[in-house]
Amino acid sequence: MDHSPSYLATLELVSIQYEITRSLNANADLRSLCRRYMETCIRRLSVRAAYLYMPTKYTGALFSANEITCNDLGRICMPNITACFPEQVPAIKAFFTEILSEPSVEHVVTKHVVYQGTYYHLFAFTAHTFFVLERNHTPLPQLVINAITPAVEDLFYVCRASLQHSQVVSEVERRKQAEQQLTFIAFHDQLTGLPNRTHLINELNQHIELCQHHELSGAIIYIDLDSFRDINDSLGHLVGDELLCQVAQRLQKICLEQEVLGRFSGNAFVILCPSQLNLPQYLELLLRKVHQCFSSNYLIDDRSIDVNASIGVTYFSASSCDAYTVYMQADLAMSKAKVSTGTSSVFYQQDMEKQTRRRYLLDTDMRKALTQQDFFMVAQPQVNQLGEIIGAELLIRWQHSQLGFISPDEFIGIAEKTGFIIPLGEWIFEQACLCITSLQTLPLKNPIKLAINVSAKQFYQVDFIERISVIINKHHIKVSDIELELTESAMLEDIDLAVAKITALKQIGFELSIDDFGTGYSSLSYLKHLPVDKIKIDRSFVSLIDKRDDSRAIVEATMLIARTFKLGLIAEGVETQAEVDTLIGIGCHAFQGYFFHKPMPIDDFFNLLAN
Amino acid sequence: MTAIFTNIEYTDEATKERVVSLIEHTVNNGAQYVLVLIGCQSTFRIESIPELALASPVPLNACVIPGVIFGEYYSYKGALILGFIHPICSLLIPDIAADHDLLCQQLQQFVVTNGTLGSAAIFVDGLSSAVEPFIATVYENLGSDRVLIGAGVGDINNRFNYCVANELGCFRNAAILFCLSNDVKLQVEGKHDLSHIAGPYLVTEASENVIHCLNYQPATDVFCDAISTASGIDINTDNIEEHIHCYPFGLKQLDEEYLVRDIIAVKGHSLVCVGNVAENSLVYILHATKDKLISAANDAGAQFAAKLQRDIVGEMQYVVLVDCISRALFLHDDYQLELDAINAQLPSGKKLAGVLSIGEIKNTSQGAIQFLNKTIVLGGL
Repeated sequence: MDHSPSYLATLELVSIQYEITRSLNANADLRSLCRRYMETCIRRLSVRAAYLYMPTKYTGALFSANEITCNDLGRICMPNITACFPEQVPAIKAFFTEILSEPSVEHVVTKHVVYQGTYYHLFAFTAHTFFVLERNHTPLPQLVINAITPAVEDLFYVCRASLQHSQVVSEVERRKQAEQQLTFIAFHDQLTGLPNRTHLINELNQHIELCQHHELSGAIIYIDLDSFRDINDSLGHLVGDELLCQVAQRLQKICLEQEVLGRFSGNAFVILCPSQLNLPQYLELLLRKVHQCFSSNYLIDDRSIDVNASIGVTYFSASSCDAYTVYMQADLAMSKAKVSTGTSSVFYQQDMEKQTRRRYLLDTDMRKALTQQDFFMVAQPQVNQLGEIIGAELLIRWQHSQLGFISPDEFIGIAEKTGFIIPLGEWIFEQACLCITSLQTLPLKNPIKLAINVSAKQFYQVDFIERISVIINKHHIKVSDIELELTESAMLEDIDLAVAKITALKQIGFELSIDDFGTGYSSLSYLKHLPVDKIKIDRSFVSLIDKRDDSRAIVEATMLIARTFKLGLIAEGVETQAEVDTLIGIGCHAFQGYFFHKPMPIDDFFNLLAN
Repeated sequence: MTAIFTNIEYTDEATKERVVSLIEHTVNNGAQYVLVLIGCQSTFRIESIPELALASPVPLNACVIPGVIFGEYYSYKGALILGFIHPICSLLIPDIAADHDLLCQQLQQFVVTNGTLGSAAIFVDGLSSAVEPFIATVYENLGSDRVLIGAGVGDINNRFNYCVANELGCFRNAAILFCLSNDVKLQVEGKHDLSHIAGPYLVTEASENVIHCLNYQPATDVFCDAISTASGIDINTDNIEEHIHCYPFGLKQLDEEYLVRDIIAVKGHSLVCVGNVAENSLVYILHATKDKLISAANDAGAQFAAKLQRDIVGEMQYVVLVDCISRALFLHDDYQLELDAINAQLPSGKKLAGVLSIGEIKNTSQGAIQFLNKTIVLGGL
């Protein structure tokens, strides 16, 4: 082996160059990379400190404020608390300024500066990056400077690559975050931050699949806030939104980690309870906690709001078809809870689905029935105390081609919900006009008035009066031959509008009566403003008039009201002689009911009148 | 050193009763901070320290080290109890292998409290593989303006034993940093005077403190050939372990002595050193002889004495010695000669107090902090 001084010197330089170069770890972030490189330089070159300067415009947020020096250069140094600032040494400052003013070149420029006994070895590179080695007592030999220059050049390249890599990584990270944000938005409700409907459906489908593999079962609790629309309408949507957030927070507190609370729709929340031991007992406990969430008022902007919820519960298991079906079942149970009195949580039962299917079927068939003439009208005569017919109420009937006779209570309810009551109401009006036209051909001693029921939805249509006027004009009948029956509750929906509409109808010539009087908790205060002609005492009071004092008292009070406001009075649902006698005794002289006549086909009614 | 010590107590047989009694004596002497250095062969267990520290009216820290030195005495079974006149601000780092950012955070607490000037001492688990990166992190945070002296601590017979303790518990892979003074700089001298007998060799494969290949050849083969040639003794894989303590590696440094790396074990064709050896570094094989070591001790003492500033010599009662355990193990009973050589060079009235360490720590002439082997480090304030 050659041990000549020149060989040893060369070997030593090669060793230094290799070790410094090899300390560059391409996988490390820029700071770790510089730290390692500078540590190696300090150890291998026996220097006191090392500094790297880079223009901040290329480094993003790499440097903190106290690392940024003059000329907008960021500084990384080792050790990092050195009180020395080479960039402030006049000769070094001038060198930096000179390099920074030049266009960047792809080669390393070196310089040697001595300042107050300290030796600085400067290396400058393209893109205006600087590397400085600081040494006490003696400078680094030129041979060493020459040997490490390529290693410093490597540092510059690696720094540049590392920065570019960081930029790519941060860009990828930004995109990833944006994607995560999008995914979050897609599966979460923005207002409450809870899982949304899509998330809940996916989650439940996964649980159903788990049930299929492990023979498990779980439950869904469907929580629907009652009268939420009223809160939005009366207090504003901001209050409504805040209320939803507070409800979400209360519900979240009662849920276990494995349970999923989500906002299924506007004012409906869902708790998905995965399978667990003693599920029924656990559900009982959880439902109690859910109810407690609504037992105290919510405080929003110093306003105390009382909120109730209707709750539907259903189980799911391996036999459940899919999430949609399970949620529908829970929704059905919730709907049942909403209309039930005395209970606010209802468990799903199979017949609920049948009822829903029937409602859906009737809703669909109703539209066909109107064109296929499956609807028809019947008339129930109204009589005076002598039994003479003074009028009739026209009632709609539906003979379904497959299901047979459908009760009006059933299909009118559906029609009102779906809005089909509007075309159906107009059809009834047409039928009433046709009846009156036919009546006009009969030789009658006294005029007969025909009454038809008008639904609230129809009544409150903006152009209700115009529409019925068109029909009346088409049939050339007298308006006074028709009596419109409006339920008490319909009038109470919007009392001012009701008064205005009734007044307008009266001006045209219609007579109006209040149907089902007594059931809507009426008060005298509003009755005196309503320009109606007649009150119909509801059958529920009539049937109990001889059995309960309170029913008799209501009928007597109604009689008094009618007399006070000079209104006509008729009792409906009269079925016995005793009821007739009592009513006559009270002062009621007009009746409608099975005791006198059942509802009958129109032709039969005409025959009855003719005879 | 009287400026900072109330007293230093020494015992050559550290039993629990003896150590407790010396701690009490030191506290009664007015010490505001107590440091207990326990020889690794003593019967006193470092596990007793947390309880003693909790009961102590002043902060108490302890380290296990291979041996203790006091005056002309040294002992592997003894203990030194150091009492400090003023409250000492120390920092215990429970895991020197922790994440770099966490270590920086901990060291910055020390910097915030004590600044960056003055003197400090450090005891760090010398058997930990994280010792050198940790030392680099200490330099990164403390800088070159605070002069440091330190020792690698631990039980050379069982690297898994605890080596650092205070009222919080016992730790391994840990370090304690002491601020000795915020304005006065320590006078430190380090020396080994070993010269090379073979090399240079390029370290072509290494991982941390294990050298696998030299000049692209298995490290043991190169080592055996070189030593056989230099000594005339046939050294092979069967008897290599008998010779490794006489032939440490020396890493070539610019303007500094060789950085010694003792070889402590042979693993297959690899040589295990005390302290890291980087790939691509240039190493020589050094030769330690009894005469050289004792001569170096003499020189170290003389150079240290010459370096001491006149204004502090008068006040100084103790000279701190951090001496490598490998020197003591190599010299056996002749180690006493090394101690005598150092003592002979010290100004009169100055007493040695120190440790036999697993690696020595001091600043280079440039200021960087280095983890040394087989070196004598003397310090005085």
